[in-house]
Amino acid sequence: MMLVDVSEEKKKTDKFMIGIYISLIVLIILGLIVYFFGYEFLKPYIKV
Amino acid sequence: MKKLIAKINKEKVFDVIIVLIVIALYVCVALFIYSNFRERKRKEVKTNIINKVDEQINEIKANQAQEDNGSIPKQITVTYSGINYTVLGKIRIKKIGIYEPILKENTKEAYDASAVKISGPNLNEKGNVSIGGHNFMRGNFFIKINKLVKDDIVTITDLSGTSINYYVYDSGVTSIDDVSYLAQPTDKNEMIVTLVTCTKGGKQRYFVKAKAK
Repeated sequence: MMLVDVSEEKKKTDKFMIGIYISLIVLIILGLIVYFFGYEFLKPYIKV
Repeated sequence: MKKLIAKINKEKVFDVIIVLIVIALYVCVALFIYSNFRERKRKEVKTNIINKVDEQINEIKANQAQEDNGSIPKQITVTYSGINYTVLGKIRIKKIGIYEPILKENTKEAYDASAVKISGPNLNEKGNVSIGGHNFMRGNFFIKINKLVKDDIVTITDLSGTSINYYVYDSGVTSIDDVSYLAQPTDKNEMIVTLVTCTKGGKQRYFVKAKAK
């Protein structure tokens, strides 16, 4: 019987998922900030 | 071992899909915000132009009250964000919530900002004046003119402040090449307004004709 240590793989997966969750949270926070406060700053660059 | 490799490969594919989904979400959010900002700016431009038109009308009325017989301009120029818009008047269709300036320029910038006079005489003069507007899916401009039915009111205000109600009497869909709806009426005393927009996909034209009673 061959035993394979998958704990390293598991750690990598966990880190990856944490990265995904963080990027989603950043997306939500950044999106809300830009949506509510970004218009005045971005107005000159927006074409009608 | 083979099972493990297969499992790792599956996980990698799964990871790539998740990353792509996250990137797609970022793009969607950016597009949504850009579209929203663009609409906000368009409303600002529209409000700014309408305010200028109202100022002009009030000035003319004040001059008339003082019996100052200055000539009434047929158009005024409003500059916003570096773009000049030549304004002829405004159009109001209460039923579908349209309240837009009518611009003279037949350019993309003008069509993106508001309704545009395509052809015909000056506003509120005898003849057939046609006004075009985009059919944006965001629910503004002329997207709802297909909801107009007989005797609905289209109000045109020119720069002298004169508002005339036009009553819808005809509408239809025609090909891009057919511009018969722009033709002048045989009765020279008739005052007609023709509203024109694209159908979905822009392959045809939808027009609504209204005339003053």
